[in-house]
Amino acid sequence: MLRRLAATLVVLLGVSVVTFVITQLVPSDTARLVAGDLASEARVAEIRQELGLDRPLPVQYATYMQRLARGDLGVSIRSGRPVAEELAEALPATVELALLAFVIILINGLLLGSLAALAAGRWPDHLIRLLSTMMISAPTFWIGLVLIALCFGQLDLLPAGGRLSPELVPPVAITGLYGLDAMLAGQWRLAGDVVTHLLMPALTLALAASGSAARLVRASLLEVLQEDHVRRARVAGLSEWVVLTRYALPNALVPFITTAAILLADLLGGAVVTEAIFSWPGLGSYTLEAVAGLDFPAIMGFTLLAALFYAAANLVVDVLYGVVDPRLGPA
Amino acid sequence: MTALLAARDLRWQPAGAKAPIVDGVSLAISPGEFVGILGGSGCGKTSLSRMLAGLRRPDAGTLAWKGAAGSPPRGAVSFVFQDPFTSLNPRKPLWWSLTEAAALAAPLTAAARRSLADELLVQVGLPPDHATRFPHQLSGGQRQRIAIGRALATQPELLILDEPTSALDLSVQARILNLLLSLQASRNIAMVMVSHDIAVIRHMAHRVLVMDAGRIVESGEPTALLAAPRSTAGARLVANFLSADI
Repeated sequence: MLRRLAATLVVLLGVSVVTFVITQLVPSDTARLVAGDLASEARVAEIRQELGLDRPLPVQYATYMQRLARGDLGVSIRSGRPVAEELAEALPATVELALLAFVIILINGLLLGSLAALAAGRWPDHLIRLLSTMMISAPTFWIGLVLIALCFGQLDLLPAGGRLSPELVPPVAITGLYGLDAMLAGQWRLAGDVVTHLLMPALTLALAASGSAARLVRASLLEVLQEDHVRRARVAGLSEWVVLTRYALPNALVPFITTAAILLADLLGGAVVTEAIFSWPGLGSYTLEAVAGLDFPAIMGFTLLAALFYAAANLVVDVLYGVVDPRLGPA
Repeated sequence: MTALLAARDLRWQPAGAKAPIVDGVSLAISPGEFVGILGGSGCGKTSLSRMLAGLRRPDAGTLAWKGAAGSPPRGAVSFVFQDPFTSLNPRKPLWWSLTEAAALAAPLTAAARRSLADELLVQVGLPPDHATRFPHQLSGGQRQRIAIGRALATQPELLILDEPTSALDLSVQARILNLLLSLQASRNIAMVMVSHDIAVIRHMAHRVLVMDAGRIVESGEPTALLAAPRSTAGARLVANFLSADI
């Protein structure tokens, strides 16, 4: 575990170097951006000196890393507020969206993949594979727009954007996740409103990944269902449900765990397109604005946070492997 | 004497196959008898053995257990698979795999399962402390011993073995075969062993059946049959065996 943690730190360090260098390669003047278009050259030079931008690149990087070690991600060029604070504000919205999308993906993937594997070669299998291909092929922005046109425009079932109806006040922050906080406070109507706002963006995020997940579960399950210990369970008279849930599926989950963990990191890393379509105030929207405004500290902060999600996902996968499959546990 | 298991006109042709894999096979196995099924690759011997064990449903034909039509009761027939690497659940400790069939046949407490597992381990020549290990921690031969121990858990009257030693090296093969012989002698279990290895069948079986293209083309006492095979398939097997032996 210590070795894995050390490797994770090395990865994060690598990401920080690469991101830092790339932000320096972009042809723009951070000091000018901070000072504004109307500022004099003298004022721009002063700001450059204040921000340490006149110093050599390695020195700037070392300074950045020293601050980072204290949890300081710098100050946003656009707002003048600490990046860490802004990220912390945007994070709960993304976590809430990502978690619901992830649950939908897990349910879809396991259900559709299992059904397809059990009916391999028959019409339910063909239908699920066709649906999966369609889900994978459809661009996210298209799915989002179709859902808005259908569920909001035509049927008026769900709201088109935001986290909450404008007339409602957000629940008292405990976790920052509106739905959970509302439930903890017993505000069920508020929780219901949060869910209706979450459904469309979560479905948009989940659909494409559901197709991939279903295909992966199907392939993995088909392999395990052919193994002799599973055949044996069938012959012993166990129901298909017991064979599937107690014998086949747990053995087929190993490849799925890797994909699912990376997928969760992906979702947490900010669904830029989906958040933009649904005006969702999460990390995706924050990053989009940061990129548009060449807000390098914000971009750096987000990139490091996303890298941290991936590194954590890999660590979780390593731990889960050992739990799910003793062959992959610690030697 | 009433046959322990009798099969009549078993036939199986998978979808898309041009010819049946098992084509009108009839046979009877007596209590305590050791029957070897010999044949080249693709002759249908594995498919036949799976039908006898109830692992595969035939398209046509019937089974009778002790004279009564129908499949054997649960636990009366056990099967040992060819590949010891996929026949055990990789996520479960050995005590679980060993006693799984017995626990399905009748509810067992955890303590009873552990005790049964210890007993089975001793019977197949492994120390009881292996009970908490996982399949990946054992060699191929040890896994096959576990598979045999698991097959014995329900105290079957018939044990069907599908090339149980083909995935093992020679010295391990010999130990597994000797284990089977000693188990048969001590428990008087009828055994059906599928193999393409004439030497193994000659050493083990009371009676040998030769299969070719889904049919039984010859049967008899192993030494006599293999000394003077009457069928083309039998002669081919013997010729291949002798050329390999040289």
